[in-house]
Amino acid sequence: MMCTLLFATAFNLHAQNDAISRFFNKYAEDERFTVVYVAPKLFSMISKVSSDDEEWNKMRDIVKDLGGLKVLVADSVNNGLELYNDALGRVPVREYDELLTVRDGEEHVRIWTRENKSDTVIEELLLLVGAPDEFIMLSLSGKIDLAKISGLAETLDVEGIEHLDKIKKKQE
Amino acid sequence: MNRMIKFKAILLLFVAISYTVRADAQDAGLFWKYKSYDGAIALRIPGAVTGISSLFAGEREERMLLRRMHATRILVFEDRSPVTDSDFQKFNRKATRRQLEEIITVRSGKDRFQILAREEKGTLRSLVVFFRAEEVTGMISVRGRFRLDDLNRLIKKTQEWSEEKPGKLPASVPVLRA
Repeated sequence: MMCTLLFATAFNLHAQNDAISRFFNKYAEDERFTVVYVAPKLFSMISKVSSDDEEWNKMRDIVKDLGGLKVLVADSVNNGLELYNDALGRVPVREYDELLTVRDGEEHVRIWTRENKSDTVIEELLLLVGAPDEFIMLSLSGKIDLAKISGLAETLDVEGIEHLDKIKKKQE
Repeated sequence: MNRMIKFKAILLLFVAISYTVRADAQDAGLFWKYKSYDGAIALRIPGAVTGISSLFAGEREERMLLRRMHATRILVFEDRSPVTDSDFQKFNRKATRRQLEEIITVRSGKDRFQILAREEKGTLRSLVVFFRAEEVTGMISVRGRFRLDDLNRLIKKTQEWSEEKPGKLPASVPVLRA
């Protein structure tokens, strides 16, 4: 019984993560979307390269524990809200904690985090932005420090990442 | 004596075949498929050439990096590229089988930038870079044994240069001309 329960939980978690990956993969080759994928290996390589440059070291400090980054951006679509609702329906709300919700007119911003229950470390951050003509999905994995995460928005020049600044504003 | 020569010849043939097969593996044959197409700029630099050019490198860090480069292939198309989306997709499918990992991918519309790498025991063995924009499409594939320590040293050295001579490159930059 216990074994079945464990298996079901593990399968459920995997299936939920898969739903977001499937959504990402569905639009990865769609020309309406801009796609950015940074593998964990690049972050690990960056963390190993030392330098005297202050900015580099700052970035190294931020990315050293990060696992991977996936960004899906569509900034000139006419079904942004439809895409947002589709993605929203796939977010496994049981596994994620809602960190932030902003609604400004027709623009919706939502940020979720997923914690590792054993050591209360945030291991995934998911951001969704939906507006009539815009859709953004950003998934960041690894050991995430919310205090440093807004620094990532300053360091990386990736469309949509500026929404992470909202976490800093919320903390203030 | 004859047996020895035969053995050496077979060994040489084996090395040559395995070299060709391995070199093909890193770009899934894209270089050979498109190198003779109209408008293609194809450059193949064998490891021996980079090895020799390392002799002219002024700094130890440059020498080490050049010596660790075993084979480099560059394929560039200006204006019009025959490389199709299905070529990229086929390459990506084969990449995992060839232990090449996706390091970074950026795609916007038809433009694409992708880096794939194969790492073994903390050493970078293969690096493949694809880029496609409106005016230029290309592929750079490098095979070698690059350690992050070498890269670290080169970055530090570059910083020293830029501090010593701001706005100037070191006098002994190795330049390979096609």
